[in-house]
Amino acid sequence: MNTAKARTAAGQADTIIVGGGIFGLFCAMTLAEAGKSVILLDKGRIWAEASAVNAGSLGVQNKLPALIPYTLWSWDIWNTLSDRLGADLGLRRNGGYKIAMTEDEAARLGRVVSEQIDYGLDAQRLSPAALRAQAPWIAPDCMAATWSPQDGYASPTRVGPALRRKVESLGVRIVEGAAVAAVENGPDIRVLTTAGDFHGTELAITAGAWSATIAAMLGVKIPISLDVNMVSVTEPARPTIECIVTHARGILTLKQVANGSCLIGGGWQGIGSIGDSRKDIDHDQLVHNLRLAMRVIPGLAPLNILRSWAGYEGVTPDSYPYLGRLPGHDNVYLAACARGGFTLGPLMGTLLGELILTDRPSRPITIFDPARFSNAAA
Amino acid sequence: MANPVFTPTNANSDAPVIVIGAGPAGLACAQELVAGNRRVVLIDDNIQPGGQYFRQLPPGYSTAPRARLMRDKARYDDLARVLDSPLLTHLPRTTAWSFPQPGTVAHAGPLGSGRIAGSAVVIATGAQERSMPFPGWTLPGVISAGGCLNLAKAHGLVPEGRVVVAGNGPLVLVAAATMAAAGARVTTVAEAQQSRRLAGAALSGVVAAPGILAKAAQYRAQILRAGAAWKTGWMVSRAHGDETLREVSIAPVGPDGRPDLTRERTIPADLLVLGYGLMPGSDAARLLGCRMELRPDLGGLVPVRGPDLQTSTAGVYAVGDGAGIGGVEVALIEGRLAAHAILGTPAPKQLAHRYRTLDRFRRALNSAYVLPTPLRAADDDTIICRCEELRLRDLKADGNAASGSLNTLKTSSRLGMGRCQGRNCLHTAAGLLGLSPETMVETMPRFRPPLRPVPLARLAADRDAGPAREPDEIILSEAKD
Ligand SMILES: Cc1cc2nc3c(=O)[nH]c(=O)nc-3n(C[C@H](O)[C@H](O)[C@H](O)COP(=O)(O)OP(=O)(O)OC[C@H]3O[C@@H](n4cnc5c(N)ncnc54)[C@H](O)[C@@H]3O)c2cc1C
Ligand SMILES: Cc1cc2nc3c(=O)[nH]c(=O)nc-3n(C[C@H](O)[C@H](O)[C@H](O)COP(=O)(O)OP(=O)(O)OC[C@H]3O[C@@H](n4cnc5c(N)ncnc54)[C@H](O)[C@@H]3O)c2cc1C
Repeated sequence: MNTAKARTAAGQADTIIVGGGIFGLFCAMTLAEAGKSVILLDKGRIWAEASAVNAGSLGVQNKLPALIPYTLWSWDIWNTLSDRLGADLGLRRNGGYKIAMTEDEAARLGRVVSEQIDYGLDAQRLSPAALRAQAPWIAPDCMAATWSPQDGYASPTRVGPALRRKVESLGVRIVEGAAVAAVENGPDIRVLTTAGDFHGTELAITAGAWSATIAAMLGVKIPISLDVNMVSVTEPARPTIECIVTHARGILTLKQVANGSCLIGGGWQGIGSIGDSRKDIDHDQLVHNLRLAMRVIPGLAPLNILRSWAGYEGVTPDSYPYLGRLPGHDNVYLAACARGGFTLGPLMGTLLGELILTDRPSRPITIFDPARFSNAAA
Repeated sequence: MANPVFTPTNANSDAPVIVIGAGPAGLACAQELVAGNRRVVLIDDNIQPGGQYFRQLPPGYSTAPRARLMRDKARYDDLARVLDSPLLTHLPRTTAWSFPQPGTVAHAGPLGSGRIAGSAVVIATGAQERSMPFPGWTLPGVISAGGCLNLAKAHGLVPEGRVVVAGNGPLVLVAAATMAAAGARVTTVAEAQQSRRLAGAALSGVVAAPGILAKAAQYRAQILRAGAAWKTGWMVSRAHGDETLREVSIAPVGPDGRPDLTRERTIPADLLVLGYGLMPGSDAARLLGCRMELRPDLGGLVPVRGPDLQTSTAGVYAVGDGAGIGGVEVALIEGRLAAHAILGTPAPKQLAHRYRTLDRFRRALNSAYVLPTPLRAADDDTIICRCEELRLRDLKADGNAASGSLNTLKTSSRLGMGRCQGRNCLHTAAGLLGLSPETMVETMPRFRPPLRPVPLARLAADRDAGPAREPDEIILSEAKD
């Protein structure tokens, strides 16, 4: 056994990462590829929370304008990921429509897309007639739409296992069932979990919606609110929708995946809190989500819904992710909470790894500073 | 998890009792409730009431006179009279798809979709068939015993050509006898359990339920009269054919649950009817968060029930095959007993007595059919999950095959993500991957609505949905404060 392996087996590593979602796995991959020893902890199985249950959209059009460059950089990672991981990830980049059903929505769509184009989005406005010709399955009374060839999707069920294999092959030690209960930051980091204690030089918090809880263990208050997003899946149908469909107000995402099933989401809220872990369906909001889907794509009406579920996503007050040092702690890092974090996860995890490795990530991260809502540690 | 209780507004007896499932259990329950002057809403997803045992022809159809099907018509007609009561609302072709609150049932169907708050909920959703994959099991010409009985009962269809019936459990007998009585050419009947294990149950049954045993004997006689070979301790090892079924291979069950191929026998067949057991359809109880337990003597995973047949969720009762396999007689009595519990009236002594006897008998019977090791006839090339077309090879190769968790395996392999949502494949996959029944239950993926597939438009038509809270308004209002 080489020394690094012996050290991680004994619970010691250069970096301890808390949270095995897409953020944590990309951070682990970046660090391990650079030769760092890494222990990745998760309270349950890795890839069992947001990263596993999300709808798989890799949308560019549905991101805030200032996040467009980051989304495109993340896509650079997605584009070569199948080769890097040696796996079929169900990745498609067939573009996407973003639609508006009312005049207000059309105005908003127009306003936002101009700004997004300024930030680098490749998109075009479609007249209702052009839309009908291109996508006859979208409701004829759709008021306005834009098209971008840059949207796509991937299969979360495929990405997770492939990432796991990769980081394990790089020597990362994954410890599951290790819920972090306390963190002590002396000269070194000591992480106390339900599966024992772990020691590291640095700590990376990539615990998604739970990240505020971990930060609080170090006495730092980071504002994170909880979204309980719902998604529904239909039975397989004849392939019709080759791309993703999003909404001017962000209240619908829709795609038809490889087996012909359609995934319907849009951030409609289910029921639950970090404390109760419920992740229940809100039947009222589910019905509204489905009504909207049917209004935009009438052909969905006869398809059987097989399953609706909900998962937890952390949200920051300005909807930009957190990425940087935890205020007041030089050796504790945080990357969490991006709306559309499946899309952005590869970049966010990679930048976090670069920050830990070199202190100089390859992209600017100041707008993501975790200290932006507070000016000091508590 | 804390047990949700009914809100006082629901608990008053003005609100109807909601009975889900119009099979023997649900109908008997409804009949007794109506007799006690209680309003009832009876929800069932079939065109006609009756469930599996009393499956009816669609309106306007009749069977050919030569098809002598065992319909038990008199008892059905008696039960079905409850449908004419002004106290009863029957919602046919309607799926109870979820429980927005423990006492409220969300339903959807062509007649409308909405929600009903009940003073109590009775789960009478019946059983489902267990599958046993083997090479060739997905060939046309291979059908399930329940499906075969349904074709016979609901459509008057009797198969032509040579019929082989195989499986494990009383339904093998029922299916074979029904086919034989209706004039089908049943050539071979193969029951996987050894006859000596079955004998014990038969003995206990003589005392407990002579009527049922007489019926079983009558079934046996019918099969033998039809000239069929009756084999115990044998299972299907494979089915052969290109476009459709041509031959069936059967073999003695080996000690490891695999077919003993050295003694395999191949017989010509045009139809293979499979009945590898029934499992309680416990999805509704799971969705409600009722406490569940694994009970081989009740056929599998069932809600824990008190003597009044109430689940751990107050006001929610579970009766019939959905709460433990017991067949029509148990289903009928449980329906009545639950009704008495809901009405607060004592059950007639005779009924309670007969229930105790039948309950003992069905548990002995289920136990007698429990095999020492689960059957495994699948080879690497056999499809296990039909919806996602996953073969045993795919599951074995999955990175999570050894995770010891069905839920984990599901997220990487897509096992159980398709139309059946794992109802058909999860338990077989668990067995083939060597998970114990306990581990299977512990690691089963969480059950999510809808209870059964429902067209999107029907869910969208929910007339009782509360107001929308559009997600983007939440973002905006949050940004403000
Ligand atoms: C239903 C749903 C649909 C979505 N759809 C999309 C979409 O289509 N496209 C898109 O781009 N984004 C989508 N998202 C958002 C996206 O899934 C998330 O932003 C992203 O997956 C977050 O990744 P993460 O690694 O930060 O968090 P997670 O994947 O949630 O990982 C966090 C990990 O931390 C672990 N953890 C928490 N607390 C502790 C502790 N105390 N000790 C140890 N470990 C701990 C958790 O167990 C978990 O594994 C969706 C989200 C949801 C919920
Ligand atoms: C496919 C099949 C065929 C069978 N055939 C026979 C037979 O021919 N002879 C025999 O003796 N035994 C048969 N059985 C055994 C049978 O389970 C019992 O004999 C008896 O019918 C059990 O009565 P029950 O009322 O508990 O359930 P069932 O008779 O199964 O009735 C349950 C009813 O509830 C409905 N239901 C379930 N979930 C929902 C929902 N979410 N929303 C709305 N409705 C719902 C079902 O469609 C069904 O109509 C069969 C079992 C199966 C699974």
